[in-house]
Amino acid sequence: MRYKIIYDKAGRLRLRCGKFAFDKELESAVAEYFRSCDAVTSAEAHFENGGMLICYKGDARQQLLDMAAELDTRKLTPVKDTSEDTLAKLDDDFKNNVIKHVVKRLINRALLPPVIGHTIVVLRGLGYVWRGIKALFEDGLTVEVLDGASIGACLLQSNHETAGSIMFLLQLSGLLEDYTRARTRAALTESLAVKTDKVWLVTESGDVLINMSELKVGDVIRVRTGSMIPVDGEVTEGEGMVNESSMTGEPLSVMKTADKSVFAGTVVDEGSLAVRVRALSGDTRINQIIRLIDDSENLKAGVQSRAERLADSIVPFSFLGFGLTLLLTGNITKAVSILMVDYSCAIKLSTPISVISALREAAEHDMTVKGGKFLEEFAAADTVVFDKTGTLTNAEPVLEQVIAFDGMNEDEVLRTAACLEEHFPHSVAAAIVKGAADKDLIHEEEHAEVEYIVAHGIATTLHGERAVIGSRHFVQEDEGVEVTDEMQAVIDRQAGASSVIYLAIGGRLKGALCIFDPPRTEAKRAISLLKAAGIKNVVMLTGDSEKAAKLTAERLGITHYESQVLPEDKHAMVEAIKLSGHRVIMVGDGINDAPALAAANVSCAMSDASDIAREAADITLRGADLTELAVMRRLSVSLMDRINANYRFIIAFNSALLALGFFGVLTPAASAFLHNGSTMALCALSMRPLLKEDEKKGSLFTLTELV
Amino acid sequence: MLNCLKNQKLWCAVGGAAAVIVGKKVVKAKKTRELCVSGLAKGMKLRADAQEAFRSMKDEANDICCDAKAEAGVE
Repeated sequence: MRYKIIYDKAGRLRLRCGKFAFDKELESAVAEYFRSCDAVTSAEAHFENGGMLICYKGDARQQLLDMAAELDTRKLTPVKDTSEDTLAKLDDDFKNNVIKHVVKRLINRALLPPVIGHTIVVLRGLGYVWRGIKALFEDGLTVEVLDGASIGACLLQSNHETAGSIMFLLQLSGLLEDYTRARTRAALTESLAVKTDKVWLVTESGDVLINMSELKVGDVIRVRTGSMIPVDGEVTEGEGMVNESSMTGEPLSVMKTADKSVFAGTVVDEGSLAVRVRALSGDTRINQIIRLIDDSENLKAGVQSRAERLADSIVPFSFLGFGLTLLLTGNITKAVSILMVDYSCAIKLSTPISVISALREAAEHDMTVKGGKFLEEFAAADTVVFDKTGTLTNAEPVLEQVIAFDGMNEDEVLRTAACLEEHFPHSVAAAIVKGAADKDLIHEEEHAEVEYIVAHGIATTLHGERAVIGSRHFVQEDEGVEVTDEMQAVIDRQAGASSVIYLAIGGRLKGALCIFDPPRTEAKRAISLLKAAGIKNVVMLTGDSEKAAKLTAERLGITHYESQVLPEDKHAMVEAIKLSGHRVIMVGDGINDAPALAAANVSCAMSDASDIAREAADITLRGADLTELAVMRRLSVSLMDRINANYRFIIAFNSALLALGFFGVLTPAASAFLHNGSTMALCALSMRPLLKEDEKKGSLFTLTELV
Repeated sequence: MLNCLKNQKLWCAVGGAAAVIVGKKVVKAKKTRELCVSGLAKGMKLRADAQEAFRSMKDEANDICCDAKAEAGVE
């Protein structure tokens, strides 16, 4: 392709091929063509002038010029826009539309003869009047009726100038609202997009690395040890252990062989699988959530629905004001001034824009909120309930201590325990095996086949005796092993905040292993930040012993805890807290948290939560940092503050306009201009970010606030 | 009869009918179509030219801005 170098300085190259060099549809493909060069950091293309801006690192200038010379746009096919391109296009389209509207209006006013100009205004105005009449019969007195009435009144008075201004401002407000909605949607898509970029496609000539976006349903991909399966599908060949805990909450890996189903988000712990694609993850969950946010009326913030109802309920008063003014003053101009100003338009526009902007801002901070009402609930909540394992902790337990009984020493206890546990990829088992490996304890296979008893422990035969390892309930009650009071006292004294695994051989307790699941490093800080942001009660639910729960609660500054909670009881506890008059945020991660998440006023799932928990949760944090809860709190509180401030402004400003119109100080045109102008300004201001730069992350609150 | 010819309304009606017939012929005429097509094409070309000029101006303004930032040490 022939090109001209327009700008050429270190790392930045602008080339121009002239208009008609490529179509608008090929812009992304051209940019993608240059991005395929490793040295390129960013590339953009514009069809209007065939321009290409390429930013690169190193000494790739000549290579890029060669690429430009070789570029044949006939061979390119349109590609799906990257999210960056989509956002840029939305911004451009919005700016162009605004410019188009403004220029059109200026030209119409300056060049068109009054007769034609007025005819256009009348025709367009009749459209508004018609929509108003339709709305009057279908929905009663709504804002559309008011818009239609104000424009109709102006037309009847032959006040074409004012009618034109009102319609122009209404159009601009509409553009602004559409733009905010579209941008939020694009930003949400971007924030939710699965970040698995490349996959190995199985072909006849071997495995080929391709972009995830090129993958189609029916393709076969290869997933190896340690990789996440990026799609739903069936195994066609190979075998491997797949960890489905992200989906089922079950920590044990499951063996997958040919014809078994696998799901997006699960991880191949060991082995290699060829998977035939059944559904691409991009087509399923992300789009479902976006549609949910788009469509569901129930998910609108209560304040948003209230604003809309309030806006419509004010309309009859505007008409009443119009009638009274006409009656008292007998001056139609003054009366129309009253009709020009209403509270509803501003309330109805600025509130959803504030909510949508907050949703977008949350998405930009890697937090997915499934609807405005959850932001409102988050701001109003006074209690946070945390599930402990996996939420306050990383669910990566470590072996803290080994206690030996009955003539065995600690190393023997640990060696035997590791020997039994090594066959199972449970996180507690992994902690014991790692503990033995750290001490260089080598364990020979001396036992018979091991039997795994779900949620209890392991049993086998060792040197002719029955050996069991597991929870106290399993060892003492199910297996009938005696744990004397003295033994229990020693265990209690040494275990501290740890969970205890019991080992018994031949019906006698041989030892206890203390496993500690340390809290996330930022857990304490996150709880302090939440308290500083107005959360009064922080509750922890855990299956740990009373002592372990108490120690963890003290360490983290938790105000209330419930120990030895069975998974199925969490839901009832959340309900009980709600019944006592609190508004609850529930933070959880596992499949067993889903009912409790659904019961809370608003629920939150962490990034590493199971898919089911994320599905049940109203808010999903994509980062693995608990302090983001405090960011969400600040965001939601700021949103409510902004909406309330907007209300106050709308009522004060428009009341002033009404009074000035009544006393004849303002003409209808001036009233319409000030009213619509202030509405638009308010909408624009409502789009500003709610969080200040220093509030976004760690420095959300000052130290003094924490003290 | 002659009075009829003096009737202004009648002449308006006749004139209107004639205008419709002539107008229909003009609209359907090949030459008119050609004129409209070439007019539209000119309009579209004008629009493309304006877009090109505007985009080039924007690009160049961006480049100047980039230089200014580099000079100020912002980037």
